[in-house]
Amino acid sequence: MALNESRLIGVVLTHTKNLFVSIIITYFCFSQAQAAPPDYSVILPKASKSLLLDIARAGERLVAVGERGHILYSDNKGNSWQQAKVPTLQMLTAVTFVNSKDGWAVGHDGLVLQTSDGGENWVVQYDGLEKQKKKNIENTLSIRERIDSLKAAMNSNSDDSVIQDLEEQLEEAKLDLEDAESVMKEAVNTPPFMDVLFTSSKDGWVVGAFGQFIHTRDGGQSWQDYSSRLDNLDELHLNALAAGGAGEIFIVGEAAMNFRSLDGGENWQAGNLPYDGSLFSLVGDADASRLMTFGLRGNTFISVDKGLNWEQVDAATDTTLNGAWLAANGEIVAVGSGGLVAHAKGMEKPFASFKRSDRLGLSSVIKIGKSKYVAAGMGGIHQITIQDETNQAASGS
Amino acid sequence: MANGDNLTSYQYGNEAKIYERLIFDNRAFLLGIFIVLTVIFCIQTAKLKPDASFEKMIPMEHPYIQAMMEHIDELGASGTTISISVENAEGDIFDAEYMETLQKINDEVFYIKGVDRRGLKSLWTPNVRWTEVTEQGFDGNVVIPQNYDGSEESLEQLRKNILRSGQVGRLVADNFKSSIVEANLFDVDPETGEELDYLEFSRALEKNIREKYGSDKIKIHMVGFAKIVGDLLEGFFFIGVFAVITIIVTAGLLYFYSRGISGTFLPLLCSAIAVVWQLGLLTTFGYGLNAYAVLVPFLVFAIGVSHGVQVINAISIEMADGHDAHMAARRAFRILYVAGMTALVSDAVGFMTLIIIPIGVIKELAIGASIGVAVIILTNLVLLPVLMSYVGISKNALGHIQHRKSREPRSWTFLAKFAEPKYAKISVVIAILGYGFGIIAGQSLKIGDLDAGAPELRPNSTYNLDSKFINANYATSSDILLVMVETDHEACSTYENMETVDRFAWEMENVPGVQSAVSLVYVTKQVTMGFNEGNLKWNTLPRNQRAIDSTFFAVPPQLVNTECSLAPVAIFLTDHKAETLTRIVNAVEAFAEKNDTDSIRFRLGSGNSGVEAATNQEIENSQNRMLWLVYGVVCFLVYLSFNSLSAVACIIIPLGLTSILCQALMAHLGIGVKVATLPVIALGVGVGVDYGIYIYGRMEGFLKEGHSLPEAYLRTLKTTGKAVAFTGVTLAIGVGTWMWSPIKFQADMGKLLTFMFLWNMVGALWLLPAVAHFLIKPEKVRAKDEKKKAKIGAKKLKKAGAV
Repeated sequence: MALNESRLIGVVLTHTKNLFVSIIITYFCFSQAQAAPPDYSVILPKASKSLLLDIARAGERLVAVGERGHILYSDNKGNSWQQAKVPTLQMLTAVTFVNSKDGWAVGHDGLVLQTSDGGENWVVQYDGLEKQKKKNIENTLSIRERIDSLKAAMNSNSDDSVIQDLEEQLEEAKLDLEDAESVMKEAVNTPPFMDVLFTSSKDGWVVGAFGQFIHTRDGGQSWQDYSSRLDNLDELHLNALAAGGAGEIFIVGEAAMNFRSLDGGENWQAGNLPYDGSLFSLVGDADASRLMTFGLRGNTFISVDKGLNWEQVDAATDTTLNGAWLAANGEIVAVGSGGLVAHAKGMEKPFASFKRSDRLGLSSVIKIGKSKYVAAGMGGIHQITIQDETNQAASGS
Repeated sequence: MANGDNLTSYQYGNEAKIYERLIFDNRAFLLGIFIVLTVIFCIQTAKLKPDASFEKMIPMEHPYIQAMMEHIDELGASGTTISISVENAEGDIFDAEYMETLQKINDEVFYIKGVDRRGLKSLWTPNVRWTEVTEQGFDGNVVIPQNYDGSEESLEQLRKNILRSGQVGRLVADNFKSSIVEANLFDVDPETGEELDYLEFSRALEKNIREKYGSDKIKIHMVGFAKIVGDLLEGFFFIGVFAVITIIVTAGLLYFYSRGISGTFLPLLCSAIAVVWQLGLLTTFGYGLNAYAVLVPFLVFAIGVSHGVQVINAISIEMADGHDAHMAARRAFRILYVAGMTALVSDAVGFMTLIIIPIGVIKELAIGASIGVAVIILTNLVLLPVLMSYVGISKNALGHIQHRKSREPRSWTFLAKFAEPKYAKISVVIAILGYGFGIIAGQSLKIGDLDAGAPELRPNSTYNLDSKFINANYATSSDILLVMVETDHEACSTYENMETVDRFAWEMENVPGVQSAVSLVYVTKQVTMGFNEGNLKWNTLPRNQRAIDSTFFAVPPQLVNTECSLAPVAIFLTDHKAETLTRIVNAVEAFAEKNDTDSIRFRLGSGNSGVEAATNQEIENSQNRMLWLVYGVVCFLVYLSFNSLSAVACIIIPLGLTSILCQALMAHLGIGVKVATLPVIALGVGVGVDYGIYIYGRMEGFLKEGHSLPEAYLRTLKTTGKAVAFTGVTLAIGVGTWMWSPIKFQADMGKLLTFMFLWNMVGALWLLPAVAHFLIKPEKVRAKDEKKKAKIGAKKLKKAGAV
């Protein structure tokens, strides 16, 4: 990274005659100065009551992530939570662990964070905002170079028709430069990541808004852009990831986008899903023999052929479902807006649903014991007991 | 000295004669002037208006209030809303009959004068809608189903619509047993330009809503600033009742004391004239009568009567000694005018010290009370003796006095014992213990208002019960602190500023005592999430400026001004205890300290809690200053009168004990130091010093005549003891009726002033002689007097020699 930067500065310095380049230097230096001390997430007593979006298991430990760079962990099944040291104030949207120590979290500003101590301390592994800044500068510089070489070519050429052609190219380049300049003037922004999945401590996948899809083979040291491998020309949001044990990887997203790869993410194919609304979560068996995805207004679909064909399932609700958990015994629970909890004894069993009395929206859920679940959402962590709530709901109706 | 033959202890007898001649040689002329002035002030008093001005109840110079006033127009309608919760006591809101009543109430509120009809909100108004994200975008409608007909199905549809409207906890109670009709009010009617008449508005609510629709089934609960003010003004009307009771009881006491018609009626008349003058002067100076200053006429009346009693007492004694009415009145005037003036001037100066407290109502209280006391000098020290010089004391009354004079009441001989060594020692020990107890018990004295709801009204008042109901059933708090976030023009929406505001709101939510904090960023996040299919993972502040700007259509005017240079953050508190306010205000200031830059500033503070925090700070600052000042002034005046530090100690030590015990009493009763109770100690000390001055004055006179201390004190009690006791009781009655005021702070003032007036009397009768035993050496008093006389004699000789 440091090498990259000095190269950039070197390139910039060769163009110091140009006023605009000096602006670039200022901008670059300024952005560097800003990035120097990372803003750590503030440790405050109500962090476990803030908006939390995903919850994962690191061995016996529970780890939850959410707004304001909050990462919390609990070693007593969610009864009490400690706040981790996290070098960002941005919202984190998803978290995953491959063992009790190694985990990753993703979020807004194209952030990927990594921990090696079970979620207590985190470092930034991928900074989408920084990437975007560099991309903008590189883009501007390359247009600048193009203009210079076009000018040089015009000077050394005497053929009128060639010069006319070069002039046209120059005009076009100048327009591009204007665009690039205006992008540079605005504050940098980059779309958020929505989900993260690691199939081993080396192989990981991140999906996000506007079709973002990146892949690492070295535990997050370097990332490759895989978005072009998906048939997603409209750059629709990708919301959730799931994996099977034998290199199967699945993605769902906006407008019922769904993709599957059966070869560890190299080749991708869209499945048939009879819906056009958004899907927000995805769960599957260890061997991916059965998959289930949940979306807008309670729309739920099941696939028993590894994501090629999907069939609608009645989840006993018309409320949006945001997150789901598939237990080892096949029991499935999905949570959603307005405190909705939908559950079934198995993917192919009938669903029942109820709304929690506080009606706070829920985003993610995890099983912690027999009939006992912990959910994350608005108002932070919530304990859910399925059995009792069902009885209550039953007696209420 | 020429006045050896009368009872005065004051040595200024010679000068008195000038005033005395001026007054008593022109009695008819003087009476004429008094009648004319009284008529004029009567006319003026008729113009007096109740004054519920909000600005006078708050410390306008405090930086919080100044910041609030800077932005008052932009802060908009946040203060002037009225919420009417309609409860179904026999079921829930999904009941056709209930919904019908709610609709009627909604329509009724629509037509009440002062309501901004566009802002009316209830389940029946078209601005209350549900929205839902669908595959195609948004879907939404009003919560009352289009085809609502009161049937089971349409009520079920209503339930569904309410659940997805997000109004549960806002317009609909958490338990679905009540719902709210909410209206914004016009402070000034935009069509007619009339100011909102709070009393009329409050009465319209009671009559057209509570009386008309309230029943066993339908219960009405109403809260809002306008209703508080309305109820306060309603409380004004009890004052007439209190005035009548006070006059009747005082008349009874006066008759019991004087046993004569003139001795009863004339002090009452003169005191009433004092009240009329005081009110007339206030109106002339352009003041109204606020809920605090309305206490002043009672105080003036009581002080007037107590001085009147001294006059009647002296005249009776003179007449019993064989003088005719005119001569007796002259002699009484001669005896009393210095002591009376000293006492009244110290009252007035004591009251004036309140003017250092920068809160309008207290300043007006100080001005009103000082004027009133100054007026008493004219009405009860001049007019009363003049009137008495015509009518005199009836035979019956004189017989009573002669009878009284002939026997020595046992109570006086008992009280006189406190000037003897044995009892004096015990008394002083008890006083020291009293001081110690008072200081320790007073430690838990709190600043500010301690009760929930509207602290101006009683905890069990209808308003506070309504407020309790609404706080229990809705996700609202009646304690709101507004922090004004100032940015450059059109800069409130930049990512950097929004991020700082959001961080601020979150840090405040983590301060104990804060329920929640809402800013424009909250709205931006909600809208951003809404634009993204309600996905919680988008409930965040976008970095893209265009994305931020596109959410501003939904930001209510309370959270941003039109120039986008002010973004108030509303902090909802769990209560308004002073320590809660202090903790939160400190947290806000600490954040501002760290985060204020040239482009963003966090400024306290508006909202009722901001005003209370400012008031508490001001009161805390003023409290000790005021005490030092009032005691300093009183000490100085006493020293001027008696030219002796021992005298100052004898008079001030009992006063101090009362003040300290009063603070202990406040702590015990759970009354905080607030706008209403801060003046109490100054009033108590100002009035309380009278007793000491009268008693010490007399006693010193007897000491000079060569009596021992116990003997001098016994003689003092015989001549003035009854008047002092009577004064204490009259004063206590004048303010004691206030304990039954529906307005909490008036009741608090009543309790504390009654305590102070009675205890000051006890202190003067019991502790003063005991302290005197240790500090006053009769020989020294005599020696000093001799010396002074000699000096005056020498001067006279010199003068004579010069001539």
